[in-house]
Amino acid sequence: MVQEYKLLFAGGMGVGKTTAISAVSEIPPVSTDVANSDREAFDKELTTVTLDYGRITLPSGDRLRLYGIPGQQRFSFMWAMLEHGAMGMVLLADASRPDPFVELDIFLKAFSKLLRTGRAVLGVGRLSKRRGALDKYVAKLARRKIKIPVFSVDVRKKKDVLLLLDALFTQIEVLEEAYRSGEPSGKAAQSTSPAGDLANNPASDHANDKEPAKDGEASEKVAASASLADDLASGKEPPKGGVFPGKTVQSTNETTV
Amino acid sequence: MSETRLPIRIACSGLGDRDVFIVRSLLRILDSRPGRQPWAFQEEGQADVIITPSVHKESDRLRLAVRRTPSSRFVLTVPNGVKVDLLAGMRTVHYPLRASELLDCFNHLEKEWPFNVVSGAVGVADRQTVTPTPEVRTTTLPTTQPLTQPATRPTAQPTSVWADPRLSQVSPDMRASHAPTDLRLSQTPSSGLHPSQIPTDLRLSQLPEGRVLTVGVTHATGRGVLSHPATIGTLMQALRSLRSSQEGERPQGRSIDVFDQLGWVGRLYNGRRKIYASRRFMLDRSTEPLGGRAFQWKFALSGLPPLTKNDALIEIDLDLFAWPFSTRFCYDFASLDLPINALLHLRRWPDFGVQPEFSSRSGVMLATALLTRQTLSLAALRRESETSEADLARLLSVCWLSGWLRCERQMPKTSSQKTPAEKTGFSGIVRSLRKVLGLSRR
Repeated sequence: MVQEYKLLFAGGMGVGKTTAISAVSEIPPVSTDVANSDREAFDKELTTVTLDYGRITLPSGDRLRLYGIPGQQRFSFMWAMLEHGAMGMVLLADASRPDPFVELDIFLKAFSKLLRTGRAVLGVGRLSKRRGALDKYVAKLARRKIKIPVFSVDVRKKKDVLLLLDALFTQIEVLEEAYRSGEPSGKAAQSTSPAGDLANNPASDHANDKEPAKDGEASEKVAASASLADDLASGKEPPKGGVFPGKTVQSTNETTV
Repeated sequence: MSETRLPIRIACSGLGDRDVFIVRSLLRILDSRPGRQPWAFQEEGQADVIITPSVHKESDRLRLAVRRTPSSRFVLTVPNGVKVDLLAGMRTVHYPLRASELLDCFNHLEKEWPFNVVSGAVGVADRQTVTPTPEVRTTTLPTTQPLTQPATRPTAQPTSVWADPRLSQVSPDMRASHAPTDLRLSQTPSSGLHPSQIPTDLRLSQLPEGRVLTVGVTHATGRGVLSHPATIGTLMQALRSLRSSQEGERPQGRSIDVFDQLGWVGRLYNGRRKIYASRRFMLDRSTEPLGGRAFQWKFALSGLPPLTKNDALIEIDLDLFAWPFSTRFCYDFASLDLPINALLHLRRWPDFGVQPEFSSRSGVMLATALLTRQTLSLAALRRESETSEADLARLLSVCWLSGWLRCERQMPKTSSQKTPAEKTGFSGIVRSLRKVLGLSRR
C-alpha cells in the first residue's frame, strides 16, 4: 500500500520556500503564485497565495509531499491544517528583513507543536557573516523552549537545502531511536539542559496551547490537503467553497491553533 | 653503553596557560634537535629551570626560594616598568613572552648546564656537597661536564619553591600588561640555536602527543614570527583562553593580545567573542618562506568575510572563524584533549551552514543530534554515532571553541518523569529519503 507523507516548508513571504522545494522536488514545483499585491511587505513580483507543492517518490512507491505554506499571515488558517500529520518542517527566515524576529515569532507560535517535537530545522538566509546573528535566532528559539538545528543557509544552493533536510532526518532518527530504547522524551530529556529548564517554565508562551486535533480529524485533513495537492499537480482547479471542502476555515482553525 | 643525556627539567610557576603553552612549544623545538641537550617539562616537583613572574610582592619569597634551591635557575618574566633585583641564577625575559627571546634564554641555560655550581651572591651549593638522589640515571653529560662526574640530580631541597602556593598566584594585572619592558637582557646573543637549525617541517601529527595541545615551530626566521603550526596552536590556546574567560575565570572586558605577541595578527576580546585579524598578516604569509603555508591558512579563512583595509584590524565572528579553523586543523595540530569518561552535552547545534561539507561526513550530524538531546560519554558517543575519531575531534573542538560544549564529570540528575519518547513512525521513510536524496548515513 502506497503511503503518503508530507514535509512542510514554512517561513515568511519571500524567504525562499518555493526555491527550496524546487531544489529537491522531482517535479517542477506547482506554485500558486500570483502578482504580489503587498509590495510594502516584500518587494517581489510574484508571491504564493495558496501553497507550493513538490513531490519525492520513493522506490517503494511511497511519496513525500513537499508543501510550501503561504507566507502571508492572512493565510494562517491553512497552516494548522498543513501541520497535522507532517513528518517535519523546514522553517526558513530572512535575516535581511528590518525586523526578522517579528515574522519568525509568528511561525514559532503557529507551529509550536511541531517545533517542540524537535522534528524541525530553521534555516536563516541572508545572514550577516560579521555579526554572529545566528546566535540571536538560537536564543529566540531557546526562549520558546525549542531546541532544533539552526543553520545559516542559502536556499538557492541545493546543498544547503539538503543540509537542512539531513539535519531534520537526523533529528527524526534520533527521536525514533530514543523511543525504541525507552529514553525520556525530548521534552523530558531537555529538562537536564538549560533549554530544558526553560521548557518547564509554566509561564511559557505555549502554556495555553490547546490539545491537538483527534486522529480522525488529522487524517481527514491530511487526505484533504493531499487531494488538493494532487489536483494542483494535475492542473485541476481547486474545489470551490474553500480548500478543504466540508470544513469551514473557522472551525478548523479553532480546533488546531 | 647507550648515551643518554639527562634532560634539563623546566617548569612554570604562576604563568598563564598561554605562556606555558609557548614554553612547551619551544621545548619541542629544542628536543627535536638530534644530539643536543634534551629538555623536559615538569608539571610538578623539582625542576632545574623555573619560569615565574617577577611579582613585586613576592620578591622576598622568591629570594628565599632561590636561596633554597641553588641548583635551579629562575627565569623571571618582567613586564614593562618593573625593575627586578636579579640574584645569581636568575634571568629575565620580557613579558609577554616572545619565542625568540625564550629561545635565546634556553640556549644560554644549555650552556650553563649543569647548574650544580652556583657562584655569586647566593653561592651556596658546592658540587661535593650535593647528595645524590635515589634515582640515578645513566647518562652522558654535556661535554662541559667532567666525564668522571656521576650523572645525578642535585639534592631535592627541603622546601620546594613549588610548595609555596603563593608563588603560583599571579596578579591578573600582570598578565594583562603587554607593553614592552625597559629591562634589557644581559646575555650575549645566542650562539646555541640558530634559526636555521630549527627543523623546518615539524608536524605535531607525527608526534606521539599529537593530540595534546602542543605545537612545533617550523621557522623562527622572517620578522620574528612563528610559522604555521605554532600559529595554529597558539591560536587554539588563545581561543581556549577566551572561552575560559567567558566562563568566569577572568573578569569580563579584558583583551587577550595573543597574536600581537607573536607579531602577526590581532587581538581577542573577552566577552565579545570577536577576533581581530590583520590584512597585513595575510600579505606577510604570501611571501617566502611561508608561502606554501600561507595558502593553507587562506584556505582556512575562506569562510570569513573579505578584509577591507591594509593593516586594519577587522572584526571577525569567532564562530565563523572557529569552524574552518577547527575542522581543518584541530586534529592535526591541536585537538581538544578530552578524558574518555567525560560526559558531554551540546547546548545548541553548531552552524553547519558555514561548512556544510563537514556536516555531510558520516556520523557528524548524528553525533550532534545525540549530544544536543542527551549527555553522553565520549566512548558512548563514538559507539552510537559511529563517527571517525578525527571527525569527532573536530566537531567537539569547534563546539568547545564556540562555547557550546559542556563537559561534566558526573552524570547530571535525570528527570524523575520518564515519559517515553514520541513514536514518530517516520524512520522507514527517512531511510528511503536518504537514499533518494544522496544523504546516506546509516
